[in-house]
Amino acid sequence: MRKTWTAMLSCVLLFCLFLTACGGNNNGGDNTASGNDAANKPANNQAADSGSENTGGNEATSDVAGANDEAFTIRVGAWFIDQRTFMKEFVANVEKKYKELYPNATIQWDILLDAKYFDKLKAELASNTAPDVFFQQGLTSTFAEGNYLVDLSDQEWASKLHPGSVKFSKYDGNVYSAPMGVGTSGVWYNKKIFSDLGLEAPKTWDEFMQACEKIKAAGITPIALGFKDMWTAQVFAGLMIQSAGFESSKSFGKDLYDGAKKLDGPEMQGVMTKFQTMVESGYFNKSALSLDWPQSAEMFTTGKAAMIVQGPWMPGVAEDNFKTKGHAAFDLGYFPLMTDAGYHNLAVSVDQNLSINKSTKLLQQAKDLVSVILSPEIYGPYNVGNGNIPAISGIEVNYPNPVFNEVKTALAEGESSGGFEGYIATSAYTALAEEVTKIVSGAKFNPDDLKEAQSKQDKDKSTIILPSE
Amino acid sequence: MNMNRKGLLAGIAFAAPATILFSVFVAYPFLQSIYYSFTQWDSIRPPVYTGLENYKELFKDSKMIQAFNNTLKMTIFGIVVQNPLALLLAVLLNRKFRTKAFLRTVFYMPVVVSLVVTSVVWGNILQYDGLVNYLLTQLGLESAVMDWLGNINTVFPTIILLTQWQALGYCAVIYLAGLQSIPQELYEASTIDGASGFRQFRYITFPLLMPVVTIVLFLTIVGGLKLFDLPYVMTNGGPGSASYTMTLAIYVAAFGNNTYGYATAAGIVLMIFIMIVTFLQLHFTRKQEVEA
Repeated sequence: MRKTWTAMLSCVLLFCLFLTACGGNNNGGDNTASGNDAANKPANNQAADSGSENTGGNEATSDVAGANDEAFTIRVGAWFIDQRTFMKEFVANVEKKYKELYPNATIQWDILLDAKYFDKLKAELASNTAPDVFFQQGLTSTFAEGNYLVDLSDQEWASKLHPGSVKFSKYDGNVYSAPMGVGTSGVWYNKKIFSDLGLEAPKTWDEFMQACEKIKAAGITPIALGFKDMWTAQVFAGLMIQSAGFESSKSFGKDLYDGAKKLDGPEMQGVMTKFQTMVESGYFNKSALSLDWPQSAEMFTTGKAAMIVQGPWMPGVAEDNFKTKGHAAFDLGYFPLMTDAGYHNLAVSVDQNLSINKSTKLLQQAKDLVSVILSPEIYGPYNVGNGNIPAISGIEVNYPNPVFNEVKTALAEGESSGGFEGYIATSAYTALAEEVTKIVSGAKFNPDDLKEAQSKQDKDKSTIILPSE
Repeated sequence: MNMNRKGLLAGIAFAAPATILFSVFVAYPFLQSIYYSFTQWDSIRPPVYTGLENYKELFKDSKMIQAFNNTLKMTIFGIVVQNPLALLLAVLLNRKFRTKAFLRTVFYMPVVVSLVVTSVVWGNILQYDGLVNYLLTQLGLESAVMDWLGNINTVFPTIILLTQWQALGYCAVIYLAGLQSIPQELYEASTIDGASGFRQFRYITFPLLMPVVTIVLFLTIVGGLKLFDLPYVMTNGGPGSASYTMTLAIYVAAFGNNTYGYATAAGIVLMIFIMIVTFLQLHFTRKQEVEA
């Protein structure tokens, strides 16, 4: 009987031990290693980690940082590091330079090439299993407010940020992320098709429509869409809304937040009506909703479509497609999406911000990794490949592709403001993009459909964390 | 220590692991989710109590209403079309003919393939430049060529058909097992009594198959109500919100829009709905069951 009781008690204790091991420790974002972190680290380093308690400063992990020959695995999260040549070079260069600092370190790249990366990242942060260093987009304020990010104000590069990019990296006066360059989206066009048809970059909406008509008449798809990836619909609609909105009010974004402008107002209705006109005129590929963005990029680089509305990375992607997929190379041109009167407002933004997880056990190593990524020999070529302008003073780059001069010209000739999307709830932005895809699918635009976006904005307004001014 | 007390302690010790597991991983999160459903919560900042706002919004939100309608359509189609088809298929596959084993494998094969793989492959086949449209063109049916998953009128019917295509074999196999468990003597006796064909099916096969019908109906309803992966991979709910299902709409509300409180409220409403539907279904089908 005693044996039975002992066996039962042992089972219960073992089970309790198992549950304890499963449990997380969430003390308001203090520094507990994630289960993954512990699993990923070699045993000899876990001992070094277990003794350190990070409180946001450098000194707590100095014992680990001092031991540069120790083996450890540091995790980096990203959604955009794919097989493009410059991306592969970026990864190789980061690993090489980090090895010089930490010869036995391993960088584990946690990559999810999809917008779902952000869902995963939020869940990981909430469950204390996020990578040590991670890229994010427009979430500096949100994550900093949630106490998920390390304050990086003391880093050397933090004092060298360009004034235009600081707002994307700061929260409450402190720097919480490194901007990986600033850039803007727009219409990238095939110069050969344009010159063959005697076309020039349009300056007004009417000219844009005329160009589309002429291209269509030549048997070429005017604009390649890959709206299976919803964010591409947001890029396209976002550019149009940015210009239409800021033409109507210089504080359009804030007006949307304050309720002075509405998401079912005339600006949005105008944009949706233009989408409908383009659909009815046959200016998009019929496969618009079943292609993802790389497929739409291929449509453009193979010459099947004359234009594509994309971010600053498009010239780099085109170059890569010409080299690796054998598509016939052509020169790219650029123009912004404008209003009827030819006004354009470009949202200059940071596509990737680099942050450090506040829960990391490898704080100094993470800071060193960020410094490596921001070193001129890595940061510079990365910006060239990605079509961005470096956001750190002292890093100058030369763009081999002259199309970036056209981007600079567009920025100089028009206006630029913070993106309006920073002032609206994510649910409202999703509703707008869904309306665009609905119209592209052939459904007739009904102005009442936009009421849902405004209703979401009203309901979820408190979820908005306003961008730093 | 008397025997009763010992027995009680032993019972507690044996039940403890399951109880603790259930409490930690089911009961506690569930109770917590009830609280979250009354809050506005973005998972980053602390939740803010908003009372019944989320529940009121659910019944006004056109996307949620569409998602609910789609889910209902999927479930009804499963009950009305898939079930009889699966039964018919099982009856046919239960007959004696040469390629029986081969055909059973063929019909069951879609079940073995992962739903995500199925979604990607069918996504490519149904693309505007895909195989379906190519075949239609070859057959001279150019007018029928369309972006099957990019048209708000065709996207959800297409998803329903694909779901049925995959689930048909599974339901048929369960029916087949049920058919094979019916004693042969009953058929022989009924044949002597002059019954054959449909009368045998009506008075022997169907009543004795009712327990299986209950299970298949239950699985079909649950499968329809929880459908997520296929529209998630193929269309992500689009175009617009034409192919949202309840589970997908909940996912988007939580992870896409960061409105976790709202998503939880939707989840709880869905749970209540599933409870009602399954209760009614089990209540009505169990009444029809007979013992062999």
